[in-house]
Amino acid sequence: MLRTVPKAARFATFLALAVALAAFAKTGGGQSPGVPSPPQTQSAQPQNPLKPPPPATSQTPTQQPAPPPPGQAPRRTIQTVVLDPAHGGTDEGAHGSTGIVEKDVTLALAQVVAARLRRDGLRVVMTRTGDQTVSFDDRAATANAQVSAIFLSLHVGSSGQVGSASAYYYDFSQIAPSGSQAAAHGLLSWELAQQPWQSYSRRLAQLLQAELSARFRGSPDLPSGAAIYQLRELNEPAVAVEIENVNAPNADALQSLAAPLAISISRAIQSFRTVYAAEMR
Amino acid sequence: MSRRRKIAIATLVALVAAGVIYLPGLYQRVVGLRRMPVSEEAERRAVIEPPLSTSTDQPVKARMFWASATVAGTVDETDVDTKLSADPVERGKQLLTALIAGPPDPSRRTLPPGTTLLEFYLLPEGTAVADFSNTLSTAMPSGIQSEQLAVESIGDTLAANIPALRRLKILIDGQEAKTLAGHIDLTGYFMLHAPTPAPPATGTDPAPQR
Repeated sequence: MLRTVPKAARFATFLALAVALAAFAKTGGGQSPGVPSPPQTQSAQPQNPLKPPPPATSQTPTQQPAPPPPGQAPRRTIQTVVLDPAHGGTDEGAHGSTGIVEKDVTLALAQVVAARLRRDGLRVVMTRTGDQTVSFDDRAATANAQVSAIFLSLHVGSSGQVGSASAYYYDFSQIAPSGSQAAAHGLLSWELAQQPWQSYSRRLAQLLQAELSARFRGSPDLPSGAAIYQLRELNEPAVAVEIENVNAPNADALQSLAAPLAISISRAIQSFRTVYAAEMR
Repeated sequence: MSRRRKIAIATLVALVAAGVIYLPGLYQRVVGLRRMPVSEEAERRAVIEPPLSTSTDQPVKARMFWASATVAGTVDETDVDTKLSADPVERGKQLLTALIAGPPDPSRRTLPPGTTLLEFYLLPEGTAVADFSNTLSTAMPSGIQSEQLAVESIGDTLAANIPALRRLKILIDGQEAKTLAGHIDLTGYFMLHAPTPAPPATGTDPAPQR
C-alpha cells in the first residue's frame, strides 16, 4: 500500500503526525500528573468590534520560551508568573459610577506589572492580552500548563476605601466541596487542585499584603482567606489582589496605582522565591 | 322644560356636589402618600418587626451581622430586639428576611435591596439551604470584598442565632450557581461557626467632669 503512495505524500503525512504529537504534548503534557484536563465549558469569544483591543505589549503564552518538557520534576525556584487580568470580553466585571469598567483597568494594571516582572528576570504569561472572554477553566489551564509558576489574579472592587489593596488566598476551611468535587480513585480533582498549595498561597498572600499595606493607605495588614472560584482550580501557589475601587473619580486615579502595585508584587515575589526555594531543598 | 331634562340637570348637580365634597379628601390622601417616608422607615420596621410571624415567636435579641462601619472588609454584630420563631426553619427565614431588609444604617448593607428569600430549609446534619432570587447576583456590587461580606453576613447571622447549623448552601433561583457575582465560589458548602459574642462595652462612659 505504501509503495503506491508518492514519496512527497508520505513525508507530508509524517510531518502532520509530528505536528499533532507536538501540539498534544503542549496542551496536555505540561500539567502535573494527577490533575485531569479541565472541563470544556466556555471558549474565547471574539473581541468587541466597537472597541479596538489595546496594543498587545505583553507576550502571549505561545510567544514565551517553551516550558520544560512534560514529566520533568518541578524546579526549586519560581521562574514563571501567570498574570491574570480578571474579567474581559463579555464579562466586564464591576462598573463604576464614573464609567470605569473593571476589565479595562485590570488589563492596564497587568501590563504595567508584567513589564516590571520581566525586568526582574521572570517569565510572564498572561491569561489574556486583549478584551477577550476567557473562562475560569481556560485561565486555570493556561496556568496549570506552566512549571515552577505562581498565579496572580488582578481585580478592582466596587466597595472599600479608594486606593486600598487587599490580597486573598483560597481558604479551604471556609468551604466544603460538594460531592462531585471529591477526590476519586486517588486523583486530585481539577476543582480542588489548589488544596495542596494552600499553605504556599497563604504565605505568598502574607508577603504581598505586607508590601501592599506599606504603599496603599487603608489596606489591611493581613491577607484574607476567601472562597474565590478562580483560585480553586490552580495547581500552583495562587493569590488574588483587589484594588479599590471602580468608583474612583476617574481612570487616572486607578492607573496611578499601577506603579506601586508593580513594585509591591515584584518585591513580594522576590521574597517568596527565597522562601519557596528554601522549603523545596 | 321637559320633566326628563329637569331630572338630568338635577342628577348632574348632585354629581357635581358629590365631587366637590369627595375630591378635597382624595387630594389630601394623595399628598399624604407622597409625603410618607418609604425607604428608611420601611427598612427599619422590617428589622424590628419581621414580617414572618409564627405561633412560637418569642421576643429575643437577634444577633445580626452587617458590614462594619469602622473596619473595612469585615462584618460587625448588631443586636436587634425582635421576635423569632422556635422552629429553626421559620427562624432562618425571619433572620434572612431581616438581613435583606437591611441595617438601620444603609451604608452597612451587605445584600442588595430587592433580593428575595425564595426558600429556606434544613437538611440532616445541620446543613441549611438558602435559596435567593437572582437579584442577589445581578444587583450585588461586583468584587471579592463585597461578595465575601455578603456570604459572611448570611453565614454569621444564621450561625449566631441557630446554633445547630453546621453548613450553608446558597442557591440562586433554585439552582446551584458557580459564583455569587463573579468571584465567590457557591459550588460548595460554607462551614458555619457561631461568631464569638462581642465583649460588653466597658469604660465607654465619659469620666465625670469636674
